[in-house]
Amino acid sequence: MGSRDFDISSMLRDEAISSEPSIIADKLISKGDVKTSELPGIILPWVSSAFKSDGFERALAGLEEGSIDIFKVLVTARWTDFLQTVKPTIGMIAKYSHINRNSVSTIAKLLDSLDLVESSKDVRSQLILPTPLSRVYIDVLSGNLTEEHDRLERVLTEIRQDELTEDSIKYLDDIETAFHLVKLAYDETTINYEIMDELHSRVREIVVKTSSGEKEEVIDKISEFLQDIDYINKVREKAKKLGLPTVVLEDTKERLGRARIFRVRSS
Amino acid sequence: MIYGSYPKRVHVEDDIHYFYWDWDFYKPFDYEPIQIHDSTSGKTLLSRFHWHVATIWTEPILQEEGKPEVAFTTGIHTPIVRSSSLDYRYVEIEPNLSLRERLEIVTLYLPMFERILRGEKFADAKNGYDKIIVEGGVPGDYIFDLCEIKCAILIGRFPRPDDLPSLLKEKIWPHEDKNE
Repeated sequence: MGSRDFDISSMLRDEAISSEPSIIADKLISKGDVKTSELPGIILPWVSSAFKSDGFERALAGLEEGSIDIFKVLVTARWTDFLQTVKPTIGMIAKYSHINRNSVSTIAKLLDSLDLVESSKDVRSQLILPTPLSRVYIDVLSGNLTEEHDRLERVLTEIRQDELTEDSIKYLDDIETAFHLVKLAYDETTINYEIMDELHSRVREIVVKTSSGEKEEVIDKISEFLQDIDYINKVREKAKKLGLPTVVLEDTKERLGRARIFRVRSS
Repeated sequence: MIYGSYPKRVHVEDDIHYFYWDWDFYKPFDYEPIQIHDSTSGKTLLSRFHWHVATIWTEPILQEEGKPEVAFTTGIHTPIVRSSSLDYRYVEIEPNLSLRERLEIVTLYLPMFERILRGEKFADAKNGYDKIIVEGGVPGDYIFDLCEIKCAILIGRFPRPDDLPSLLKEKIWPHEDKNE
């Protein structure tokens, strides 16, 4: 696997590691003049160094440490699955994610039980293969919701045309599960958790109303949710441009009349 | 006394001082209100961080004449008050803040406040502003209306009801008067 001296950081910010691999690869090939065969040699070292960057820390500010490790394992597994030139073994994922093999193994078992990866045997190694749910989970956890916005728009079109597909029904289940799991990545005593909880409730409502066939209400709920996603993307993009890390606001349980009191949790 | 970015005018309306810039760095047209509330335990300074977000400074350091000192950052203008304590909390007064408002708080407003607060503010020369005071003239949309406040950043010790203007006091302790 050869790689030339290509400065990937001139084209991509570190936070981009959570983006869909095909989008990143297309960008590198079309705008960076990178050959397909060069991708593994360029991308995997970049992913590995991005995990240690300030931009990565900013992108995941507020998450519990365990959730950050889960994210690293999933992202590495997704990239290797996409590149196909190296196998997503425990050892390989440990190497690029900077997590020790035992921890990767433990995380992989957990992710398997949550349907975020599929484990399979390859000769003497265990392979960690990402599922469709893992893509949605990575997007929601990293706040990179552009893909989910587009996918939900397609679901909305299908519903309007009375042509909702099995794939879309499965997708709605996945996005509901993703929001549920991401919510659990935050401490329950924080506003950050409450925000995710509210988003999860909205998605759950969409799933429930879809399964009971309440077409008009589903259309309203998805449209409203899409507007919220637009807004979230806008606010996060603004913060990113200003280099502002999201703060974690923890309920102190102190009393000031009827007001709730929160304090910024130090990182 | 003020430090940092110097305003073009200071409008005084209902005892609130509105520091006005018509253009500063990249930011046009800005009114930053500062209200001083006197209580038995001292002075509380109130300002506006965003339309529904107040800043409440409960431990301002006062000069000999009993006046506080405030610094304005170029292009941002959010007032930073020289205080005995910079320990702060976020106070959610209204129970029904929207998802979008709460998202802005954790993603933009508090990270921005944290950055401004930690910057060096009181190193430059300080200036008075008596000569640029004008009476009234604040556009209706820019009036500092405490009825609009839904949440706040509280810097310093917890206030007692008496430490806050009545409108804010009633928001935080809505049943206080009824119980008396």
